[in-house]
Amino acid sequence: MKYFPVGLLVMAPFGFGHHSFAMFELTKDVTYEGTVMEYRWENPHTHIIVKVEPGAADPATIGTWDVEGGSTNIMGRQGWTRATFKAGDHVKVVAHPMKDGTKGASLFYAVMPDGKRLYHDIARPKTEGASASAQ
Amino acid sequence: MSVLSWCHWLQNTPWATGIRQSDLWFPFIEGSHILALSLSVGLIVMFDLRLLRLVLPTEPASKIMRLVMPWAIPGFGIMFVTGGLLFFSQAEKAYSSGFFRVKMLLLVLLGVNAVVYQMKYYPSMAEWESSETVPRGVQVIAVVSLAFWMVVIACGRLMAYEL
Repeated sequence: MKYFPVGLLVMAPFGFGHHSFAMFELTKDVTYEGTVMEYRWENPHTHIIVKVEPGAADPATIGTWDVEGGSTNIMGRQGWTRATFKAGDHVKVVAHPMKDGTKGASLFYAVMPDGKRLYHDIARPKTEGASASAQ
Repeated sequence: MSVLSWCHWLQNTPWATGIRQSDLWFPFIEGSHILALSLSVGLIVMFDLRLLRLVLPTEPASKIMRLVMPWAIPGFGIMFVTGGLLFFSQAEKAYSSGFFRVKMLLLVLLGVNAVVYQMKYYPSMAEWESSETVPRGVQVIAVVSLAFWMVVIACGRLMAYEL
């Protein structure tokens, strides 16, 4: 039994999906509003490449961002499809930026043209009510 | 054609795209890749620990080898095939990843390590397997195997943390 933890260590990542959220600043909700450059409906993560033009409400968000969502399975359960976005669409997403400052973020939710929110997974890590100030 | 442009072509072939976009195949392949670890690396770890006399020291090492290899080798085969499919589905990202390159290099070195064991120490196992003093070279091979496999697994995981 002395070596059992080695086995646990090897298997531990399996329970946590493709990767954890350790690299994202989960307490920070940043709104990125701009144009979809690319919408990649794929595994292990979906991606929305968003270009925020100069003149955006939050100048810190100007640039091109890789907003990462969950797997197609996880996103599908929240109502996302491969046709949710296409290149050229206007997009407004709220996401948690990378801790290291690179232009990437973990999707929290997207605000659709009718005002409805499409969440990444089960609105991890906060509830809808707690995030109202993010908009 | 550069390696990177070949990777670009490869991951955009219909079947690589199909794997990447499949709700069923991607998790099945990725899950199998990780579960097969327990068969292959799990059993290789047990064998390495036996070579170091830390596990089942009273059992002959050749017997442990005979018992674990019929499981470890197919396990490695599953990891190899599923790993290849995962690579095809995201070849560009994998090729660009430093972690992936370290992982591939260490897998080659692990292969060399195993071949050295087979050629140099396997034929003489009967002479030392029951003795309390394991040849120094065998100990080195076992420690290298344990250390490299751990780094290979860590690199495989860390690849996922690059956007």
